[in-house]
Amino acid sequence: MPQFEQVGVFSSLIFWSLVSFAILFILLKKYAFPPILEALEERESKIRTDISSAEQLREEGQKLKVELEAELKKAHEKANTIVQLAHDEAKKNQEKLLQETQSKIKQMQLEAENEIKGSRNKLFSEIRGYAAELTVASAEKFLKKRLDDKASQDLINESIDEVIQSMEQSAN
Amino acid sequence: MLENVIGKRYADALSKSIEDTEKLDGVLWSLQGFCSAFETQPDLVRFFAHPGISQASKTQMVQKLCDHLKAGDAVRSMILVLTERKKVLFLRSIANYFEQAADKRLNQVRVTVSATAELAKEQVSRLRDALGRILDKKIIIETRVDKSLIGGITLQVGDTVADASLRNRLSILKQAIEKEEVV
Repeated sequence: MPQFEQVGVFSSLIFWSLVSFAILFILLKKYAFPPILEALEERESKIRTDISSAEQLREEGQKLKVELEAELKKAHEKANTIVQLAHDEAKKNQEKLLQETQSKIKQMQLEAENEIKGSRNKLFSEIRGYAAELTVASAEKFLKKRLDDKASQDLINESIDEVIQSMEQSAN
Repeated sequence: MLENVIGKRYADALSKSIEDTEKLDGVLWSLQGFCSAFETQPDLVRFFAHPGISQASKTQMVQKLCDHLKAGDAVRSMILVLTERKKVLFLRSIANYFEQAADKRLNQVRVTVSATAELAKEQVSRLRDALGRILDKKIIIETRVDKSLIGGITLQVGDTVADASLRNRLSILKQAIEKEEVV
């Protein structure tokens, strides 16, 4: 190649270039590379730490998600239980109310029946009372009218026998 | 209650003070006379109850009453004691208890017979004989006329009442009608 045909011309140049490059390289290696490498290492370490933190955060996030899901599930279950309990309670209350109402109706029915029975008995009692009064008054009137002296004396004699018999029975 | 206790105590004492049982009727008659006098004369009750009248005046009044009723010594003494002890107003109770005590001693019983008409002697004696035989006691019958009986008689011996009147039968009939069950 034509470029390499002129090596002889530029050999010293090449040499000095190499020397200066070496010197530059040594200087760079001694003074510039260490802080750069250090900075790079720091950065690498920082990036690694960040990645690790991110990973940790991701894991924590995942864990939190799982926990939250579990909590959510638990909350759902709790809510379902509460709903179920509320439902059962409502059903129970409904049944209780129904029973109470039925019992109340039964009681009212019974009271009404008793009241009717009482009124009926009272009415019959009053009728019987009137009938008895009427019967006795009529009988008394009739007897007073029909009992002449002879009948009265006969009755007295019968009563004497009856009283004697009664006293004899009591004595025995 | 107090009246009964006092009446019984004095009646028993009076009965014990009379040994001769034949005198019991006379004493009872005198006591009844005093009781009638007190019951028919309210002024007499007020006189003995009045705290302003002296004891001497009351004693004098008792003596006069005893003379008037020809009461024996036993009755006179007891009335005077009652006057002194301010117990003369319990005389009715004393007479009642004395009647019981006397009847017991004389083995007799008082029977009250109520009828719609006056009982004939034969009816009274029939009752007396029968009751005397049943109760094994001398029977003293007191008769009363009670038109409200309608017919028949009622008989009372102590606390026992035998009611064979039409009024009682009608009452039983009335109760039977009243109690009759209606289906």
